[in-house]
Amino acid sequence: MFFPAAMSKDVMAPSVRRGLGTLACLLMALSIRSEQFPRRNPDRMKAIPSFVLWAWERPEDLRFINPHDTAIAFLANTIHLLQRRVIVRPRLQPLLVPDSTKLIAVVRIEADSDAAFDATQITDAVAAILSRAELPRVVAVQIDFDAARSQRMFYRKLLLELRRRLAKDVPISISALASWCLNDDWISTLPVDEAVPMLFRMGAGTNDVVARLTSGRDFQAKLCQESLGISTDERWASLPGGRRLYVFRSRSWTEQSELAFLAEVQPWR
Amino acid sequence: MALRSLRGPLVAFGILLFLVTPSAIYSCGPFLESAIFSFEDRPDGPAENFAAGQLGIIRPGFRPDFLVVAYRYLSGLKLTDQQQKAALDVWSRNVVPETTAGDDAVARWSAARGKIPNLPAAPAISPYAVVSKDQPYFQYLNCPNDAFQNAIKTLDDRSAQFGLTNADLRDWASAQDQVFANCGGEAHAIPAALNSGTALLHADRNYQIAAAHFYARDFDEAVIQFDAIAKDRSSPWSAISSYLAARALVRKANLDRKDTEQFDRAAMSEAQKRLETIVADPQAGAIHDPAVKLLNFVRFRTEPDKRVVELDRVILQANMGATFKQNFWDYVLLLSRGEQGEDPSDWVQTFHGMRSNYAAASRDEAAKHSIAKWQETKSLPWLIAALAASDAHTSNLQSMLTVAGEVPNSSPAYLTVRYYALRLMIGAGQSDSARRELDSLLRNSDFPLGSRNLLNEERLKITTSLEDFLQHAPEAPVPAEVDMNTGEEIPKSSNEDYPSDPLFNRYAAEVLVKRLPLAVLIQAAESPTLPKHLRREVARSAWTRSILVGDLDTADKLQAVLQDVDAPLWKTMEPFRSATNPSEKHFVALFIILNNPGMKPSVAESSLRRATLGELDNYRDNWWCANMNGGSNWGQSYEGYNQDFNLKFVDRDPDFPFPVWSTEAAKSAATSQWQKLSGIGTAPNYLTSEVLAYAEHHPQAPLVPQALHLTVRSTRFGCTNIETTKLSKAAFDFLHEHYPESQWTAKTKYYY
Repeated sequence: MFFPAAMSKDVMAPSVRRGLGTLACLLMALSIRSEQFPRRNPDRMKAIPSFVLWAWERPEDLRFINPHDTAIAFLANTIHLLQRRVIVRPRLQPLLVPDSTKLIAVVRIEADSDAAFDATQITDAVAAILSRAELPRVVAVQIDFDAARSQRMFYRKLLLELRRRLAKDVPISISALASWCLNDDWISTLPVDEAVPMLFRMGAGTNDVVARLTSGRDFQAKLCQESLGISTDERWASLPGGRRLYVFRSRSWTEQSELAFLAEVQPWR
Repeated sequence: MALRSLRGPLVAFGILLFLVTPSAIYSCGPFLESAIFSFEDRPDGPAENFAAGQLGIIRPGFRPDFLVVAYRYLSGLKLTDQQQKAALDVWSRNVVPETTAGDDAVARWSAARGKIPNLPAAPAISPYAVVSKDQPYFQYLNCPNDAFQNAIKTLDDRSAQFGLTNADLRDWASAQDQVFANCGGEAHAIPAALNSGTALLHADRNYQIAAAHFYARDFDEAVIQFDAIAKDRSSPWSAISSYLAARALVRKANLDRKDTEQFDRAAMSEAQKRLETIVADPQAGAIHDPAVKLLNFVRFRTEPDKRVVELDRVILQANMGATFKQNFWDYVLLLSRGEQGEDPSDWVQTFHGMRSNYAAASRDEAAKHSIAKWQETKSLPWLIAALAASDAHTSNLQSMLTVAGEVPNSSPAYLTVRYYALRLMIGAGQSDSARRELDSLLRNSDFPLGSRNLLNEERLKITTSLEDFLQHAPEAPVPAEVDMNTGEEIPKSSNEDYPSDPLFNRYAAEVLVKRLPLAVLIQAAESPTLPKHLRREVARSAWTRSILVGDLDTADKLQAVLQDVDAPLWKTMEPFRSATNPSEKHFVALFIILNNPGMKPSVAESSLRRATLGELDNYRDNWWCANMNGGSNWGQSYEGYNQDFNLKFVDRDPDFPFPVWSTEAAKSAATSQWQKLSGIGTAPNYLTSEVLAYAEHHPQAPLVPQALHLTVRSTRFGCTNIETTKLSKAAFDFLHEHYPESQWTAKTKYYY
């Protein structure tokens, strides 16, 4: 970008006026664009330990964990979008954790096909998410929404609104279908700090993902390259190491189950 | 002569072929982790059938909620259509009456109050409240739907009476807003007492004040207020208030308890007394049924032993009433806590107490009790329990079998009785009779698949020849999937995309793995009685086994059947066929095994390997572990926590019987081969040691660098133990020291 070497202060040629107008428009568009796609802050996730247990809707007594190296991502709310309504169901099962545990409040979104996906639903859903972000020891929020193609614009707008209203230092993580991380990368421009590829219950897509990861190739979407989401009942002999690992167990966690699982994944972590 | 001159080119061609197609490729998947041939904890097939009385084969491992229904049918009773539906709900845990507030109710309340002009906007209502400040992460439903529905109805009634613009009505609605402000647990908003207005509005206000205290968790005050209203016969809320006072006490008992208690006993006992009074009152009217329901809730906690007896008697009633679902669920929960009362719960607990994963001493006690109860009652449920508990040495076995033989095939118990009876007949040496009956039963395709597989497994134990064994060895797995929420394996909702090819169950695999010599395994692989994919499985495992036990002749003999059932693998074996030196032949065989992580000396049981033969399985099911059995090796590797892991061979069932048709020579050969296998050890260690030994003597052999690379790979992806790393390093060092320029050295960056 450069300006003409000499310019009269008093007289501006029409061509210069047009050029400056164009420049102003471009700058305005860029500022709008940066609001549309807020800059990602790579430091936001740094405080989160690299090992995270998902605590779903069941009684969880996790006082055995080491809070210095393990965080807990607990299902805090389930939001159901039904026609024009937003139905919020809180967690109804106990969660016991050591005092200094870092918590990630997970909010799951389910949408009926006839949901309105309008601005009011965005506002109400974001309010429900923010209420969980304010709970003690919550250091991040994670949204779990298997958005269909037709729902992606709504999801994007919801995340934008959430980012706008959430405290600046609180990261937003999302769960990501493996396909989003591979050949259907629509998430790279989302205002989130992490996308966790969900490498379980993948069904027909399993072979593609396995083939890719075991041949040394990574996910295409960079957002998906910092973490992994796996389940204790679907074992992987090897996965890319050095990433934050989220682990789901279909039953309540016990100390023994955690230790056994850690032992199993240690070689490739 | 001519062949010798061609040997070099043939071997070279074979190597080229090998390098171009290093592993046998078959399109694969989707495979399941482990096939199920019959469910242990539930009936297979549609649950609707079981609910309708098609019981299949009942097993001790069945969940108590299935056994309760089975007991009812075995006792000559039935479930109505509605009760069958209730049973399905209980089985799928669709039981909790209301854990979510439909925001419908809240929205409708907002809409209803919104019709009153000039009413200030109400605060947002959250029906949920945090359980305690110490536990902010989970909540409870403080204001259920009926609270809002009741408020809407009352508002409608008052509006009709006073008119929407009436100031008193507006005041009423404002007070109700205060009541609901307490729902979220944050506010403490109690409407002020009313000093003027009609008696009706006074009564309403007093009720609102009591309700506000209730939702604000002032339970003692709520009780006082509701008691006062109950005494005021002129109040329209008088009748319900005695019930609500009890409800306040129940809430107090559950929410205001010490951490060490399940509930506050004093509050719960007081609630119980009050509810019993209501239930006993012939004038209770509309609050009678809710009081019964709440009293059942309370007595579940305060008098579980009495409650289980009451529900035992309900289970045996011809007409179980409209509250079957709640009663059934309460009963199941009581049974899960070990409660036991009269015959139905006695039977369920006893039969369930014989499940395979229960402590042996407890199983024995349950077995003795089953036999004693049958002798006492001669009932059908106890006959089944006694049959399941008995063995060949049980006294009066023959009389039990005679009675079992009299159960008609129209009885819901028929298949179960025949199953356990046949097991006993086999144990008592009545194999011929058992075989005839099993063959007849197995011709019936109407039985559920899981039941057929159970019968077939008994038939497997009394085969008369290898061909007879091979006919019964393959079993089709029952369609199953994992319930993501519970982790349990459940019948699959549809058969679409479910592999239905038959597999070897554990019994068949044990016979093939431990009790048949290689000579017989060749016959099995050649037999058209087995489906082709299982012939392939037998052929591959037999070939691997023959290499490990040093039987190169058998490995050669297997080439013909391998060509038939596994042409791609057979093609890659050209160097093996061409090698004439035993040492070279052995080495090339190891090379083939290293290139094909699916090669194992044992047939797979209950599933086929997920990956293709030549692919590494991402779940670590590669080659074999020291135990040599047919189970998959998922996740098995030494992680530094248990130094004995995978170090020694342990025969999981050393007393497993030989087929009766095995000859003495065959038994001797099988035993000898099994013993040799037991000394081989885990695959990465064995393969690495053997390749290193060959490399030291034949460092110029062209395949050695690649073989060393593959052994290091096997120490990463195979079944390891505490000694594997040392071998991995030895192979790594040898490769780097002797072949620094080799591409395989460049590819081997680490040892493991």
